[in-house]
Amino acid sequence: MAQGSSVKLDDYREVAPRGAVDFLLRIGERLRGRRLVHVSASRYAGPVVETLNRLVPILNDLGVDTSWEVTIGGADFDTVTRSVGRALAGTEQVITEGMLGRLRDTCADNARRLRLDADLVVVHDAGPLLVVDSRGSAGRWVWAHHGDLSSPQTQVWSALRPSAQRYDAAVFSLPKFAGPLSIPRFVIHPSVDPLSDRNREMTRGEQMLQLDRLHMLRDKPILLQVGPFDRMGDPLGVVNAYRLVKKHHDVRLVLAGPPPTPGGGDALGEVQEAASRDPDLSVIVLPPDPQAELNALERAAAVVVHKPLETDFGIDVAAAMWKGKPVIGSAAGGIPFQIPQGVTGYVVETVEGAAFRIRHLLNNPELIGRMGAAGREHVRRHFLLTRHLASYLALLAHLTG
Amino acid sequence: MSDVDPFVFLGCLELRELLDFEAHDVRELGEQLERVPPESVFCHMAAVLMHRSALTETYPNDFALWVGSEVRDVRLAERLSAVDPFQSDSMERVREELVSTIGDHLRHLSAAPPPSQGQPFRFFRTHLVAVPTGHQARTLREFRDALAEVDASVLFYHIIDGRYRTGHGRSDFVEWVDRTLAFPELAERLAHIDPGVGSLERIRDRHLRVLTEALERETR
Repeated sequence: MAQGSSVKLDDYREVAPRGAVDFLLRIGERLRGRRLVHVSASRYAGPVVETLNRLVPILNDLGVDTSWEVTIGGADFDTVTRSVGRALAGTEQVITEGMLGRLRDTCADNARRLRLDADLVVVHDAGPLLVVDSRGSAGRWVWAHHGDLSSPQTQVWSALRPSAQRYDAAVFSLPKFAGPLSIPRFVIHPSVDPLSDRNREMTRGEQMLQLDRLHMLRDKPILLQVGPFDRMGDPLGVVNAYRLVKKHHDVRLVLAGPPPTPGGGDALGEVQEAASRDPDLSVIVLPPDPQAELNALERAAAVVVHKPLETDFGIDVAAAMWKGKPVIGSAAGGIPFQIPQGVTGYVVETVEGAAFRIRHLLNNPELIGRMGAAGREHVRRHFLLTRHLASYLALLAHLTG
Repeated sequence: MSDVDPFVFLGCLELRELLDFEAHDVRELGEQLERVPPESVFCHMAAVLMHRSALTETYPNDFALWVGSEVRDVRLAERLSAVDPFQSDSMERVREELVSTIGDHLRHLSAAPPPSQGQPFRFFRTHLVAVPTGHQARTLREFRDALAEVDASVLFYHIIDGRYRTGHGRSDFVEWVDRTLAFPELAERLAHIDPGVGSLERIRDRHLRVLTEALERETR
């Protein structure tokens, strides 16, 4: 099993596109000795953390002197950071001047404590945004905001925008997520790590073991949705699509998601109620850090559905395509960017559309194989960690000359 | 050691910058096309090859794709898909053709152009950073062998970007095979490979086929 810093760039040779690893090594030679610092508010949770866990050691391997600094704060720093993050994503929050003041003071304290002398400083998301207020004249600074900044809460954005403008550039994961800034804005899509527990190759025996642990039957084609049990994840819409399919095909639907958080998971009861009346509908509340479980589930599925009403980039779509599965996705967030229509799956707007496309695939099993293979190749070229690494190197080369 | 000037294979890193130009209908698309920098026309007409799926059976450039999928004006989408950036040695000419195609379409519309039913068109520009791959070739065989191994961005840099960078209107490969190796017929065959074939990997395969055939003829 490939884990964290033990992974080398060479390990990606078998999964990356032809010539890509050698080219990355050459780029590393060109950028050798440059110093890059990533700054985030956490080292333990979230997709940005998973990516940095892999990218930082590989960048060092390449000769780019890379470190990862984490901001720390008082008891309510995390709460304020989360509220500000939600406000920037457009969800109305109560954020007082006092909260913003504490955020500013905490970032100033961190700027004094952290080692931020570098050719390029990349600050991730809202938590450490204001660290830039203490920047010196050396080095270039980039703010990477991974969520949607297109309609931030006005009062909060008015307070933070002057600081955001102090960066030399901003990075967004989708063009439509880009915030109203007059600094250069670049778009870099997220990626999946093909060597992580979520995406690595898995023996059939290990897969069966994982599925047995989840009490998953494999006697019928499986439709799978992975996502939170809340309204935005739309598990009930997927149940309705499954019921339309079920009239014609003997399939199982598996809905897998994390345990509900306080204030979330408001659809779990309803899908469990539906499952109690249908033996072919399974609801799996996943254990903590369910990477291997998700890997096994996605490999067992015939068709993967990813139909949230709202989402960020939705990189779960690429994770499923990497396992050679066609994906039926909604038009939310970054999902349409990942699914070339009719090539690796389908983007749909309604429950009926999802049902129609699932039926079409089940009626044409050769299409499932063809789209699955096309999906894996599409991810190999555009959504693997090696492409993400190249994007960061491009940013470093472009901004630091 | 041969005194032939070697072909030095360069790959490229690509960074996409979002510009402040947006279009919400076809008229705005035409107006903004007249204002954006040529790097933006390049990004949406030629650099699209860097991002597209090998199997996508859709319009070959971002303008046609947006008009087809968001504005749902199939007639104009088809006409824009026929604007071939690889037949031109300058993005200004490509821009003129796009603007003229949109203008002509608008003149023949009986009503106001319909707005986008989804996302606006957001203009980007492409920044390319060229990096040597460490591969170079002095003979046709070395050239073919290196081409089979290099990162796909090499194909983009030499075949797509090369034709505008040099002003020759031909790929760097064609120039080297013609002028340095002095194989004009082979250069002509390489020049006839359509970059609009779908993906960089397909372009690579077509080049390898032509080069391999030439090498086989040479050894007969």
